[in-house]
Amino acid sequence: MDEASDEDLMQRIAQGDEPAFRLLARRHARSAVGLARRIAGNEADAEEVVQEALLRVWVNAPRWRPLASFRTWFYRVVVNLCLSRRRRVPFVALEAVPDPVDPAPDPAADLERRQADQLVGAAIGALHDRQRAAIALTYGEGLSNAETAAILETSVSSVEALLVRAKRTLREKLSDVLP
Amino acid sequence: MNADEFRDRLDHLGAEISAWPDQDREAAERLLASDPAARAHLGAARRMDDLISHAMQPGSPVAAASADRVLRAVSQPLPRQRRSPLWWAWPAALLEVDLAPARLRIAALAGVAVLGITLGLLGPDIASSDGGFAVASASSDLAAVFDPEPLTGVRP
Repeated sequence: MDEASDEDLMQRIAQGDEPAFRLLARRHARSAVGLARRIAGNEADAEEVVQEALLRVWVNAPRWRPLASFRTWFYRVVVNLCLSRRRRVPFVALEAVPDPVDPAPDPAADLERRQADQLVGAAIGALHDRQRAAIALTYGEGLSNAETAAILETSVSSVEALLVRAKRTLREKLSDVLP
Repeated sequence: MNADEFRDRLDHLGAEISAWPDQDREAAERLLASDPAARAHLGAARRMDDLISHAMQPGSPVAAASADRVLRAVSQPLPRQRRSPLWWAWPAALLEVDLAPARLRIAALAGVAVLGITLGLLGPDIASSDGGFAVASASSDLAAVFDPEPLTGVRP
């Protein structure tokens, strides 16, 4: 069953196959948490969003139609839940969460990098929700503009406009760390 | 292309100039060879791409721990699945029929049908309240009532 495609697993889940659901959840949970964390901006909301999205997969599997790939549909659910969620916890830039200590060969360069990351994380956190979602999907997930458009349920040109506005805003805010 | 236009292209097309359309790429390469401001814009765009990409990478151990917590949460007894009622099965099966190749012809057929119905309801045979009809009625000559209209040939 490990080699089954997402869509095949969905067919089985539609029949009430719990092991198929757990396999599909394991397959996507980590990337979905990463995506949700980039958009929602904090760990707790990201976990709640992904948990809710996975339960929606299970509950609605019998009515799911393979009109798009499972990943596109699942990411759309995750993104929509992130965007519609009223933030109960302020946005915390990813880099504000301490990483494990890494024995870097150049501590000064590492410190500089961390400071830059904090600035960038805060600037991304202050973007409009859909701009942040577009940045998270393209830069974070490495998706094309077309895939991002499918997830955000908009056109490719709208995604391009979101990215252009986001980059211009970031350029203004990050003038200190840009050459 | 000047430096400002070049920066605008950078925003739209990204800092990977080799992936730009030929015309834009050639103009950009000419500008970069002669304009330090353009080279500075390119350096800033590449630096920003690098900063965003790095900032978007989650700390792996953190993401893994979060994913584990989510998976534990959904390993509890699962709720009941929502199934479509039986009466919906037939329409749902119809919705799954892929009509994409024939959509244009179906739309044309539907358009012609709508046009036909509209003309049938609002066409000259019903809407006409011309004098001919009145005269014909007044003359009580029933045969004339059903004669074709002399100019258009339309029957009342």
